[in-house]
Amino acid sequence: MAKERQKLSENLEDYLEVIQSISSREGTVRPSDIAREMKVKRPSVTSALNSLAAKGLVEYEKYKPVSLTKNGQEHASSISKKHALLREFFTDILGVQASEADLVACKMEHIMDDSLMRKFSKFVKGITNPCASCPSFGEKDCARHCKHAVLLSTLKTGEAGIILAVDKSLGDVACFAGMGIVIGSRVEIARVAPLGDPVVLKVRGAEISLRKSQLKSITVKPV
Amino acid sequence: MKSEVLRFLLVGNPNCGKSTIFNSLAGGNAHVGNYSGVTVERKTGMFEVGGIKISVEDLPGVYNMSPSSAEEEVVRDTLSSGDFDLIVNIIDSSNLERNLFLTIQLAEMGLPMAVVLNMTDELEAKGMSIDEKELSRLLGVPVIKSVAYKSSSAASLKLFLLDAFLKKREPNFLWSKFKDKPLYADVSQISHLIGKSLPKESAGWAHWLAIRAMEGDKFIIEKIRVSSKELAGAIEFACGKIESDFGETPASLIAAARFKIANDIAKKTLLGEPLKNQRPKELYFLDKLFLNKYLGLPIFFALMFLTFQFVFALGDPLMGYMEDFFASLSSWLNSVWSGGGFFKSLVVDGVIGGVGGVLVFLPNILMLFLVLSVLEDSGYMARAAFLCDRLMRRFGLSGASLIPMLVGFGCTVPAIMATRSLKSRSERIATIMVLPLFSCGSRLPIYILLIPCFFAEKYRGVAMFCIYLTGIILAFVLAKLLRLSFFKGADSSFVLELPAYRFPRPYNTLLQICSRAWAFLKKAGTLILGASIILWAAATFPEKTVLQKDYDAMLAEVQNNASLSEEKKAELANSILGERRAEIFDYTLSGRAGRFLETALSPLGFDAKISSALLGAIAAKEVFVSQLGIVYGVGEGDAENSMSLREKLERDYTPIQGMSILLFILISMPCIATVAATYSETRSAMLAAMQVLGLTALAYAVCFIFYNIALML
Repeated sequence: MAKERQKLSENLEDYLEVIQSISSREGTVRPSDIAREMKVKRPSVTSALNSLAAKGLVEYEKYKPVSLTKNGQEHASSISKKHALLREFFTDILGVQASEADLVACKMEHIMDDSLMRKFSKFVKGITNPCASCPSFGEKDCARHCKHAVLLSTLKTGEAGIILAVDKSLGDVACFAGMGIVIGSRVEIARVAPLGDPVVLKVRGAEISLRKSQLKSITVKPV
Repeated sequence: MKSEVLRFLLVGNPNCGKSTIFNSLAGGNAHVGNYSGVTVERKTGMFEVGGIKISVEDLPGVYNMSPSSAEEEVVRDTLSSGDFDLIVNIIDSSNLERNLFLTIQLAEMGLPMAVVLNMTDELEAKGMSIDEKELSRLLGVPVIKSVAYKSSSAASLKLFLLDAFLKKREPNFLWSKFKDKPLYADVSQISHLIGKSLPKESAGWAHWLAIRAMEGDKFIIEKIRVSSKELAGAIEFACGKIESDFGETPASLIAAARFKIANDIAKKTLLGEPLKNQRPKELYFLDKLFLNKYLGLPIFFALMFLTFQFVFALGDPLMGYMEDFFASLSSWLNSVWSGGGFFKSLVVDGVIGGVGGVLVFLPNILMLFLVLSVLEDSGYMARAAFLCDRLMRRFGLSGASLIPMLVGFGCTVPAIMATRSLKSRSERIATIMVLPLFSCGSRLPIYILLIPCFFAEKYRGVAMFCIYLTGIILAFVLAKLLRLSFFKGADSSFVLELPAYRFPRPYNTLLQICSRAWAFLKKAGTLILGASIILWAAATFPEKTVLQKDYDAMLAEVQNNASLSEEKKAELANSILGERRAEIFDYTLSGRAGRFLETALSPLGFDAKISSALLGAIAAKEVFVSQLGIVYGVGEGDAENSMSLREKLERDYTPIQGMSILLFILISMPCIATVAATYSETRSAMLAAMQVLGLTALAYAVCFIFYNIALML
């Protein structure tokens, strides 16, 4: 869908977002729900719904639940995607507090158009994803063919990596998954036991002990 | 409401403070039992709020819903039965993301749930906090912050849980983030297929069943296969396709997806930034010491040594008071209760001699459990397993075997239960087989009774240490032999979380010790009391009324013989009394049983009395002490009662015999409760029988060799 979406006022976009969030939470949306959530009076809701209905974004009849049309849904999810991305940028990259990030994102989401958004998204993903610099990033199976992949057993104390693959030879995958040893987790070799084996791994905020022989079943990309 | 009493389940990761929450809800009002069929401890308690009775159940701590151990199976089965009113998910706030992994799995079930954020104080100490309103919005269920050990939060927690139940909020569908991802397309396709084959009322389970089946939950796949072969085939095909497409099993892809969801939620709800070097500083300081390359192991052994010092040095004086109390109780009874006949003998010799003889060891046993509970709660126990893994593997065991072994110094039964954390069956069985060699608390009374009889004061500590050490060495040698012969199997996968160091909460420790004390008292009041009465009867009846010699006349003769000195008189009188006692005892049931065994056990240096006491030890090890007390109490004149049991033993046995007895007690057949635990954990009568016979044969061989060599020297 290359065509640009029709321009809406900030106010109407907020309505779309609220309708979508209520419907994903409760299933049906009533005008009274919208009024409560947005802290506005019923008549303002009615007039906003009428104008959205005129643009073909919502289906609305008096005394009936409101629902988004296909167009309306697309519009709403494009706004919430922008919101999420902006929020991620503020919290994860700039280190802003979540509440403040939300406040700013709420304003910015309305003025960023789709093409700017795409460029911005590429930039943010490049920073947050450690594989972004890799030429085969995003291709199918890239973890298996990763040029930088090494076995976790080759890392030294204090070094860290991102888990790319967990071999079945490790045993019950689910059991290790519960402790955070899954694809995408960052692991750090924290220390080695006095007798040379086992080792302590730092993973997902916890310290897990594994034997050196088990580390050979885990492939990581050093970071 | 299904019944008058609501049923809430507490679910959470290990070390998330679940038990603390349980204690603050139910107080001392807990009932500890077992889940049927498995020896997983089942803890239930009751509390009342707003006039409504609620039963809470503290499910075992798990990381995962996929059953890879008995505990996880219990949790999975209890949850999928659906027979409860609310899931209470406890989250350790200081590790939100990892804990959310389980929360997401619980949410997948779509059942009424509430979340308790525990240990928020630890998180706040790091300069962070959780936006619980946002978390509640994202998960779709009520969330409360709690600091479990603060009594003020208990009341509000109770109200919150009731409120959560009344609202009956079902969790949001958290996978929606993945709606456009290829993995999710497969999940929803399978859940659609399953949904069609399910009856309408349980259609809500389709999504959960689909995910579980794709994760390879054998139980669920089997159920699906029974209802529809085509469906099972379709799932298998889809899983195969995913594996060839992604080069990863569906199980690990689903786990990774869940962590993405968890990470997402954690990002949105964690406020503030960690203060640099706040917690790591203290944590690393302790680990730097305890896990130090050079100091780690010496510190471990020193701690173990201190544990024994603590238990015995502090416990012994307390035990002295208990002993004095029971001694004065029975002499007081003897003086005020004239006549009385058999009934008096039953109370004084049977009940006080038997039960009292065991109760005096209560202080020592409580001290031992106190230390074990502190080691466990502080987080050191897991580190000990980590330190010793390499060492243990030499003997075909794993570091995780160390925890059951340490618990085994308390009681073998919970130790056998604790082997569940071992994933390899052969390692686990080898550990269970040798666990009785770690002298349990019940054998302590026997050692404490016997050692002072045969060793000079300065050697007593060494002797006690040697007995424990002999057991440990034998256990390791035996484990190695078993792993080389009967239980070859591969090494288990070893995975262990090193929990954050925490200061043990006195209230929790106290509750734990109280429940141990209560269990010990209950055992003394039931099993040991019953055994004492039976043993007393066996040591009294049938009574020999016509004696072969006229002992009274012999005594009178000695007394009247003017040519003898006073000392000589007393000595002769003693031997006459001993002869009479022996004749009476030989005629009784236990005398006969003992004599029967004596023929078999005399090569080890045991006489009929010891042999009959060993019979009693089968019920529970402490009964050995009761039985000796009874055997020596029955049929004695009042004059002799002033002599303690120890003095009597010292008179009757040589130190070599004493050591042989100690060795036999250490190694020979485990008590009935241990055998039962072995049976229920291994599900094999053969293994249980092997444990009994093997250890008894070993005991016989060791004692035989020891006794005969020692006699020659």
